[in-house]
Amino acid sequence: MSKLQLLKVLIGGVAAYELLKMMKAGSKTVIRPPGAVDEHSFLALCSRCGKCNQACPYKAIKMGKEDFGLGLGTPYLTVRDDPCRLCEDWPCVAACPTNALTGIEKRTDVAMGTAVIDKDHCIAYEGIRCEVCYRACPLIDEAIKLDIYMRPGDDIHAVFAPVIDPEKCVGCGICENKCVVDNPVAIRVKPREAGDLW
Amino acid sequence: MKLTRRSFLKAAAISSAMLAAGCTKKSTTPTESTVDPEIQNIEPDEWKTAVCRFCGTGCGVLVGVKDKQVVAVKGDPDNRSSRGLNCIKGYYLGKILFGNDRLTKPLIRDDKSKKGTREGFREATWEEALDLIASKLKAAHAADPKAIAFWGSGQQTITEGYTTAKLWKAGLLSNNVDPNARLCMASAVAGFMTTFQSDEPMGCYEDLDHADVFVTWGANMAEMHPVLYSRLTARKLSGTNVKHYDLTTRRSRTTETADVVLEFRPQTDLAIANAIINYLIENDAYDKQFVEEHCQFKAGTEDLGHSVNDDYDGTEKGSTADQAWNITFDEFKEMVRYYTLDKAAEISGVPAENIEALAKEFADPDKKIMSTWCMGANQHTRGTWINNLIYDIHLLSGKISQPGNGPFSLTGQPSACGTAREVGVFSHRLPADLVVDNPDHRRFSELIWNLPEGYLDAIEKPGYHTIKMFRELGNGNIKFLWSMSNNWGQTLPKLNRFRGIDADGKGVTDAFIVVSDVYPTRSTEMADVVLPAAMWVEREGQFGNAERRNSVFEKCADAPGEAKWDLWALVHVARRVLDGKKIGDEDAFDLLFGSIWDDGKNDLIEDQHEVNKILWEEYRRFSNPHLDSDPEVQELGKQLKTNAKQLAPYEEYFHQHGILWPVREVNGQWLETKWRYAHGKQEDGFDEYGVEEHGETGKYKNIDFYKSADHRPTVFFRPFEDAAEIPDEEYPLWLCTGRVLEHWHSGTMTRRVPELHRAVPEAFCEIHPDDAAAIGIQDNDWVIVKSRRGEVKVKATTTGRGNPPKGLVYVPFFAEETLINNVTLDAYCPISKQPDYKKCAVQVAKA
Amino acid sequence: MVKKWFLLRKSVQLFILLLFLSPLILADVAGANFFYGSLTSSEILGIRLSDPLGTLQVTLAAKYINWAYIGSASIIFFIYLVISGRVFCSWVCPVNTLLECTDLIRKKFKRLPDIHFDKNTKIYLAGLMLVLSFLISVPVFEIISPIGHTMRNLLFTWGIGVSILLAIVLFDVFISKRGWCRYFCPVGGFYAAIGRSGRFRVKMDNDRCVQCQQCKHVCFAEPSILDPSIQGKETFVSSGDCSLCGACVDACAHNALQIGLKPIRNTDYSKDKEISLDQK
Repeated sequence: MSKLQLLKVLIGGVAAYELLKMMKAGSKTVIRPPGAVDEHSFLALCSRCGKCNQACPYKAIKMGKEDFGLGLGTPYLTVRDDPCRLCEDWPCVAACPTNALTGIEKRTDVAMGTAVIDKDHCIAYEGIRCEVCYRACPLIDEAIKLDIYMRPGDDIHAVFAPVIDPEKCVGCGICENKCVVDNPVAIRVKPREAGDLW
Repeated sequence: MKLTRRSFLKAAAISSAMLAAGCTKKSTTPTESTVDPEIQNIEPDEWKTAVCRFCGTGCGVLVGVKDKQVVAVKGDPDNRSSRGLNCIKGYYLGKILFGNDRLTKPLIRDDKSKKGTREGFREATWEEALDLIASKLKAAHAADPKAIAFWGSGQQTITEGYTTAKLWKAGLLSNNVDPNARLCMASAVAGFMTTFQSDEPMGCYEDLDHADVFVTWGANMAEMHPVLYSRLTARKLSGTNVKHYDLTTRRSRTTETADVVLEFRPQTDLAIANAIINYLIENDAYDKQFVEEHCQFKAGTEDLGHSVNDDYDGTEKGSTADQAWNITFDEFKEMVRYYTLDKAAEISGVPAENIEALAKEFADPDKKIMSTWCMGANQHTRGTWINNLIYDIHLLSGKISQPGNGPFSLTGQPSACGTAREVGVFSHRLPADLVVDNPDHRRFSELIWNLPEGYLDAIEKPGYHTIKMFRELGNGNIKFLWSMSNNWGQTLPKLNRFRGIDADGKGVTDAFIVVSDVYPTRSTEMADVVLPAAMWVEREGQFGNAERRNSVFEKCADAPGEAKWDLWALVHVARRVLDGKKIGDEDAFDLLFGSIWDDGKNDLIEDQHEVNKILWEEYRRFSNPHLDSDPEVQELGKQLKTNAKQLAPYEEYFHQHGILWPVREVNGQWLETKWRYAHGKQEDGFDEYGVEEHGETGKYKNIDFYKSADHRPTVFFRPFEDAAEIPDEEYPLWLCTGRVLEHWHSGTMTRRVPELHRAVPEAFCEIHPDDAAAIGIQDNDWVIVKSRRGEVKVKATTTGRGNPPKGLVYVPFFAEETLINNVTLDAYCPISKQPDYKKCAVQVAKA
Repeated sequence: MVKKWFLLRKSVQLFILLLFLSPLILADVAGANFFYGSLTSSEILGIRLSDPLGTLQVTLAAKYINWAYIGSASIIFFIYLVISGRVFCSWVCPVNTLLECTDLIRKKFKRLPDIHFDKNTKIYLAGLMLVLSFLISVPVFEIISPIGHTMRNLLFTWGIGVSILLAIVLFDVFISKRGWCRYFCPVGGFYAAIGRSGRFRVKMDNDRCVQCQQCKHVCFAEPSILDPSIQGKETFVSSGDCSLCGACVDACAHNALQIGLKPIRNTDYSKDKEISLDQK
């Protein structure tokens, strides 16, 4: 290799390095499939092979596109459209060759995120007997419980307010998927903390 | 967004597109609604009064109307049943109007070979469809009067039901008219009639605000009566030491918030109730004075066997199932002695101490107890018996007909009471608690309907009850069937037969079937003619809810396309069928329906309010004989006590947003009755006028059961008899079916609301984790649920809203692609003829 | 003349494509597929296979040794090590399958420019990808790899990969004949680096060779790699760049070329007794 070539490769390498650094900073915090290691390690470990996508019986796992920065090709879920059903045999985790998804034996091991209720828009908080999210929750009475109290200004009706236990919620997103309120959805899954990416 | 100002729709231009919900056979995903944010804030021109058209709670709603379009729905704070609260179905009620596959033109099927599918129809004019229906009805009726049938509904309006009954009973002299309420409330009716000789509960929803103890006997109120459950829960929160006992075969959402759970083996509620009765007597803890002054004791036919075969009603047991005879208290005591707490525990699997705890509540004279029940008790091969037994307990403990004290039969449909029961759209009934096999009752109806004396003698024998009707349809003995506001093609038990698939159901395909509906359903698949109907507030109507409250809803919008009011279709068919017929010297049609017919236009009077009012006032003559101009009506009415269900003038219902009957006119005011048979001030909701007119005041607890024979309701001895089909080695699991909060019955409306469809898009099979492990399945795996009658593929769920015990699975019936009723059994209660959807034996295997 | 190797190779390419597309067609038949995954990592009859270069990148990026993963890559690595590294390129790689079409265009428009680069650039780039992966903690080439993008576009999602592929096609058509594969693809570079140790090689029978240069004309990898054999310096084409596509064998009118198995022990190529695979 001539010196000139070496120089070219070096310049190209530095340029690529800077570019990739920028892209990595642009990576999004998204909901990862069950068992995803912390975001920093996940970006390193995920080989972008797509096996988890194919393994998902519900086609809920999608593959990141260019707007994911360095997360391009990594798996994620948009739970409003298609949540994680928390299959008890964990096909996506089993499919992962690199242990980017790992360590899940039971549903409570999952930590994809935490559901957050928008009390201003949740109609259950107004006394409407809804609680769709609560009944749909695979961890009903654990991750979502009902806070039952007298309806303000009404001496004969109660409010059945769904409340999230952040310790128990695994972030599967079934609640967000089922929520009957739109614009905005009254319960959303906040992805697990991505931490400092760089 | 404010609860009080919910706007969600815009004008029809975009409504169909935005609310398109795919509910065809294959699709389970509705088109996403793309609501333009701007239209969320359409300000209605006016708010009209209406009532929810789903469950029997009967919540009031206000409908926002702009440019003759429904643009918003909100709770009606002036409706005294719900006081402005709704559940999620009511919240999205307006959207049921806008499914993108509304039926808008009459459809005729020329090719019967396509029956059972949605193919093979052609669009037709109303004229052609009505002519065809009338000619087929006439021909079938002429050949054999028994070969025609009408299957009505607790979702028809009161005037629609009244018109149906009048056409069938007086016009065609046929008792082959029965409602889908037979599948839902018949056991409650039979329970009321056998115990009290008067249908409908004595108490009301306000009991929920006063009770110290709640007992749910087979009712998942948390999901099925959401607003009432909110009221029950409020009482638990605001009262001190208010307790809730839940008797159930499967842990439901109601169970999870109950204080004591009695989870019993299916069918053994009979034993538990008997043990409570026995406890009260053995421990001298019953209300002796109440029993002495108010009760009589009876026993009835036992060892009834099961109505599995078509000829059951004609068998010795079947034909004598409703017979009963008086016994003494001591004889009664002896009969229930067998049911000790331990015995009931042994039979039911419920710990004796839990049964005793509940019995002790009834034994406490200071506790106010409200029992509620619904399909768990009614859909029961001994449904009448368990209803009787609950009344027994309340009668023995004297806890009845007082605020907070009462057995309260919940209803499933918006007008199971109003339309089916009060109007009497049953094969054995006439309006206002009257029955066909009583000559006085027939005579009274003849008087009101201006029929010659003895004219109704032709219908003295009850017609086919629902299951019999459809069994005979299958056997080829019914040639003409018209069904309205129901979905038998999905909801009948042992459905393969009634869809013509089983060998003994072939007659279904040959019969001429008319289905009036608003969307394509599993029933329109079976039709020869489909009539597009106006739904909910596309016409004016009236519903009667579980607490005897009649409410009206105003017409808010026109029906789409050529969809028409069912009553319009009924009267037009009547016009054709009765053409040229005479009753006495009069033209039959003029006599029966002339009052609502516009001779000039040769059509129904155009103003729906006018038509409803005329029919209502005519129907009201049944229950207001004392105000009648005809002295004969006055006299016979008084004797029959029909004003025990007195109704108010039609306009009053619009002013008051619903009124509980009996409604009494006091100083120009129409006042409702909250607690029947209980004497007190009418202003306070007590039955002042009823007791004073038909009974005596000052009796024990100020109660006089003036409608009951000898003013004494009956305490029945009803033993435990086991279910029609019990799990065995081959079919080791119980199957229980039912509803979910998010969907209404067969889902034809709620599944077209994208939000509700999103919430529960598909059926499921709840199974205990141990049973799931035994067949090697996990949550969300597909399973086949199979019985001796059929099978269905459905997704299993092991964690969730309902948690059945080991040995029992639960599948809801709302999903038309998951016909769980192919699996269920059509055995019915021999007295009420209501089938049991809650118990049959199945096997579950991995699909 | 029957283009025997050409037909065989096309069949294999098609089979590989169908194999990877099979989950789309056969999915949900029985809940589990006999095969699924992408070229980065896949599973066939329960056996996990992974791309060695991808595995190296992930391992370096994550600074974490996952023996199962490395094992799954080793299977592939040793297969190519034994056969010949760049067999991947001409028999398996879907990008090559696509780019072979550019040859057809170039056949029609013969005056298109063809700039040559150093064929070892791809090896340096492979190294660079590994270094960058280590530094940035992301498997760098897996993000931009046209192979990965082809797989993703076919199997998962439409995206920027289309542009990358289009750019490569345009480069190959208008700037440099088969330039991406010959000079730049790091995967090709990786396989070229291990290519020399492959047992299967193109074998030259100098007695038959008439120096017509037809073989060089059709060579996909890099025509110059045939020079030592044509000149009689080696019996077996030794360059790691050779992808055993068989085009030269098909093209030789004099049957001077065959694909044969090279014995392991002897390093003196010229005196070897070859075992012919190509039994005529």
